[in-house]
Amino acid sequence: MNFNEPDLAAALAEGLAQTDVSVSAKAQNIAWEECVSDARLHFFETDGFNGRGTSWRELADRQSEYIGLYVNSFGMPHTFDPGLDPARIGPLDEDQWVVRLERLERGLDNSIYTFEELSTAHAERDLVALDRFADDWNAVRDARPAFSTFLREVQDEISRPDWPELLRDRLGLAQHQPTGKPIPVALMAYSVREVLAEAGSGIPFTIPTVLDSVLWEHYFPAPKEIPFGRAMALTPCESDENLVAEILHSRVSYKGRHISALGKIVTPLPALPVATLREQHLLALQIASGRDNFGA
Amino acid sequence: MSTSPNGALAKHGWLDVFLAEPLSELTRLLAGRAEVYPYTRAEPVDAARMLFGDLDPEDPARTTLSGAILDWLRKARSAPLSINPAVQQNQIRQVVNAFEIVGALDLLAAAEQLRREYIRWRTWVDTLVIGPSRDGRAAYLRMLAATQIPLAQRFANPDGLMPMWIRLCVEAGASLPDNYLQIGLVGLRKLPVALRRGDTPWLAGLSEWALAHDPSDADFMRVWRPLKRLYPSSHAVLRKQVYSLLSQATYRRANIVPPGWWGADPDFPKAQGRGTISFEPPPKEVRESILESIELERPFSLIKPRVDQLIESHRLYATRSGESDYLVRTFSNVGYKLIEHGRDARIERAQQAQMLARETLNHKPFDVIAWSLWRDSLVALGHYEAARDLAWEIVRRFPNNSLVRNLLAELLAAGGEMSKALRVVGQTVEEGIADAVTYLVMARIEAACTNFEEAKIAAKKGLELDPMNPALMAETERLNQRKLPGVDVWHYKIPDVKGELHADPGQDEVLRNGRLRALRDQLVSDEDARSELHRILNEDPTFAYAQILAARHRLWQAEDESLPPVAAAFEIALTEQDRGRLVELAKRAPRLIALIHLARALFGDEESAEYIARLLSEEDEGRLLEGEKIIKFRLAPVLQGVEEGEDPVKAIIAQRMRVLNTLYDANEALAAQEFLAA
Repeated sequence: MNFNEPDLAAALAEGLAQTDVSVSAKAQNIAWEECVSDARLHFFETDGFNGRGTSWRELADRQSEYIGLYVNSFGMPHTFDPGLDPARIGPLDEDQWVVRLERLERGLDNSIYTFEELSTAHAERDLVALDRFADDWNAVRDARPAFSTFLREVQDEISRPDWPELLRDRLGLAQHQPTGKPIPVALMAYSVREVLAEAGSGIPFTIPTVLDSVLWEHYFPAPKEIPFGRAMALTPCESDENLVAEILHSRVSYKGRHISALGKIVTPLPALPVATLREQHLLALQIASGRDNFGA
Repeated sequence: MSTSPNGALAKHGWLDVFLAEPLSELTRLLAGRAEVYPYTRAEPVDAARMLFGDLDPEDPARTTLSGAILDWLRKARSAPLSINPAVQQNQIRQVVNAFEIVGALDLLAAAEQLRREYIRWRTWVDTLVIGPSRDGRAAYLRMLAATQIPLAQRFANPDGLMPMWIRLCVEAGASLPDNYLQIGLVGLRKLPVALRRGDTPWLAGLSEWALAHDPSDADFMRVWRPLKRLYPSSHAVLRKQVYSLLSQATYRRANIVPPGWWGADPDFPKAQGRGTISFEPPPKEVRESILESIELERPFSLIKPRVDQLIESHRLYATRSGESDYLVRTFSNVGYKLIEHGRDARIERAQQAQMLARETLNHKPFDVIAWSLWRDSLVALGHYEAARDLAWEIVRRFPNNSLVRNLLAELLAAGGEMSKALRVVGQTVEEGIADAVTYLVMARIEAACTNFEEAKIAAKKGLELDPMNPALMAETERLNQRKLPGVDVWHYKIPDVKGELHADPGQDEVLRNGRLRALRDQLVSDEDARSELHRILNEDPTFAYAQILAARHRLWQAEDESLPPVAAAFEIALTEQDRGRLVELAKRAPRLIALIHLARALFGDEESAEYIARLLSEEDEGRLLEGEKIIKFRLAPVLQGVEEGEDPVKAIIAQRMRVLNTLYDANEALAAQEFLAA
C-alpha cells in the first residue's frame, strides 16, 4: 500500500526503519498490503477523522482511529462497502461451512449462563437454552468483520480434544493468551448461505487487509495472486501447504445451533519469536503465490 | 509477558505504563491503541480481563483502574455526543466497554459511585442508545445488575434496585427494547438479600412482564425454560411458588388463574387443586395498629422496632410478589403520621419518614405523595432550604398539580420569602392551575404583607371557585377586620432544631434541579439569574436541566458537530421556530410527539393544530401519555375556542403565552429522571 500523502509516507518510512519487530512488523503490514482498493486508500489518506503527522505513532493512531470509526462499527463496515471496492471473495458455494473461534467471556457476561451451564445445555442439545444465550450475546455484538475460515481447512484440528488451542495456533489468534484462568471459547459454524442471507446490500465475503483490524504483528497481508487471506500461524510454517485460508465476512446473528463446540484455551501461546514466524510465513506466501519479490 | 515459576504469566509490562499515566493509558486501551501485546486485537473488556483479572483486588493497578475508569467516564459524560454517525457510535462503544470493564472486573469503588449517582448517570446514558450493540444505557444497567452482590456490604438496602428491575421487565418490549427483559431478570437474580433468603424474585419479574405483554405460550417458554434450567427445583416447590405469585391481587384483578402463563410448561398441569399460598401481603391490622400507636404519641423508641419490622415485611412481600402498591401506601401513611405526631425524637421521626419517602420513590418514581412526604420530612428535619429546593423540583415534575404549588408558596411564606411565595401563587393563577386553596394562600400572603385589599380580592376569587370553603370564609371574615393571619393558619412551621442531612449524591442532584426551577422564571429579565445559569453551566456543562433553560434563552447551543440531548434540542427548535428541526426531532424522540405538534401548531401548521385539537377533545384520559395529559389539562381555553368554531391554529396562537408555558413545563417534566435511592 503506497501512500500518496507525503506525511503518511514519511510516517510509514519511520516505522519500516525501526528495528523493534513490534513496530516494523506493523509497518511492513501496511507497506506490503496489496488488496486495499484505491477508493479505500484515498478515504484513509484524506478523510479528516483525526489529526495527522509524520511520525509512526501518529500513523498507527490514525489507523486505529479508522478501525474504531469505520470497521469495528455499528453500521456497514468499510470492509464490505461496495462503494469502496473491497477485495471481494467469491463466488462461493453457498452450502459450504464457515467456522470461527469466538471467545465467550463477553457473551457470558451478558447472558444468564455460566460457561458450565452453557456446556450442559450444549451437551443436552437444549436449543431453547442455546438460543437464549445466542440472543443475549448477539445484543452486544456489532457489525465488525468476522475473521474466519472454511470448515474443511481446519477439519483435522477441530476433531482433536485440544481443538481450542490447535485452532488458536493455526489461525494465529495470539490475543487468546490465557493468564491465570483458561479462556472459554466456542467454535461457531454456519453456512455461506446464512452469511449471504443476512448481508443485505454489502459485499459479504472479503480478503482481510491491513485496514480491517488494528495493527498487529500476527496479521500478514496476502499477495494479490492468492484468492484468500492466509492466517499466520503461531507455530512454525514449514510449507506453503500449511497456509490456512483466512476470510472476512459480514455479521451473522448467531443461533444456538451455530455453537458447534465449546472448550477452553488453557495453554499459553507457543514460545516462538514473532520475527521467526513472519519470516517463515513470508517464504510460504512467496512460494504459494509464485512471487519471490513479495515482501522484499 | 513471561511465565512465572508456578506457570502463571507474570504481570504485563503495560501495567507499569498504565500506573504512570492511568487516564491517558486507559483512554488508549478503550480506543484500541494501547501497547498490550498480545491482547492488541482483543475487545477492551477482554484485554482488561487478561491484564487486570488475575491481580489481587487490592493490587495498585486494580485500584488505580477503578479510579481511572470513573475519571474517564466523567470526562466522557462532559463531552458532547457527535452528530457524525461514525464518531457517535465509536463514542458509545467506548462507554459501553468502560461499563463492561467495571462489571467484569468487579471494580467496586467505581461501581459504588456509579450506583450512588444513579440519576446523573442514568440521565446521560439514556442519550447513548442507537442500537443493541451501541447501547450505553443497557451497559450501565448490566453493570449495576452484575455488581449488586459484591456491593452488598456497601449499601444500607442492598436490594434497593429491585423495583427498577421490575420496571425494566414491565417496560421491555414497550418503552424499552426487548432485550431489556433479560437485563431486568439478571438484576432480579442478583439481589443479595433475596438470594440469601431463598427467594425467587425473577419469577415476579417474569410474571410482571407476562402481565404487561401477554406473550404467546412459545414466547413465554422461550424466556422461562432457560431460566428454569438454572434453578433446579422439585415440581411441587415450583408449582407452589407460581401458585403463590399468581394468587396475588394484581393477577386476580387481571383474571389470571394459576398457573397462568406457566400452563405452557408441562410441569404445570392446567387443572390443579388449590395450592398453598406461601406469601401474602402484610396484614393491614399490623399497619393500623402502628398508625394508632403513632397517633397516640407513644414513645418513638417503642414504635421504631415495629416500624422497622413493618418495613421489612413490606420489602419481603414486594420482592416475592413484584407488587409494590401495599408498600407504597403503607410507607407514605406511616411516614406522614411520624412527622405529624409525637413529641419525642422529632429528628429521628423525620429521618425515618424521609427514608420511607425515598424508598417509596424507588417503587413508584412519580408518586406525588411520596415526593411530598420527602419534602415535608425535610421541613420536619429543620432543613428549610433543602425542603424549598425539593418543593420546586416537585413543581417541575408535577406541573399540573395545584397542591404542590400551593404548598411551595406556603413553605416560602414560612421561610419568610413572601414575595417569592406571592409570585408562585400568582403564576399558578396565570397558568390556569389555581384552585380555591391557591387563592386562600394568596389571600393570607397578601394579608401578611398588609395588602388587605389584594387579599380580599384573592379570597373573593377563591370563594367564587368554592363558595362553601370554610377556610376561605374564615379568612374573609378576618380580612374584613383587617387582622393579620395568625401563626396557626400556615401549613408549615420550620422547627428550631436541625437534624443531620447525610451526604447523598441522589438528593444533591434532585435539589440542584429544584434550585434551577426556582431560577427559571427570573431568566426572562433578570441579568443576575442569567449569570447564575452561566456559572452553573460552566461548572457542569452536561447539567441536563441547565442546558434546557439555557437553550430556551439562547444562552446555550450544542457545540458544532455535536448532538444536543433531546429536551435541549426541543428548546432550541422552539426558540428558533425551526420546523425542520422539530420534524427531525420527532423521529429521534417519539415521546415528544405531542409537544412537537403543539410547537408546530404555534408556528401555524394546520395539520399539527388538528392533531392538538383531537388530543384536547380526547375523553379517555387513560389513553394519554404524560406529555399529552399536561397539554390537555393546560389548554382547556384552546379547546373551548375550537368547540366554539374557532380555527385550531388561531385558537392556539391566541393562547401563545399559555401554550409556551405549557410546552416548557411539559418538556421539563418529561426530562425529569426517575429517582432511585441507590
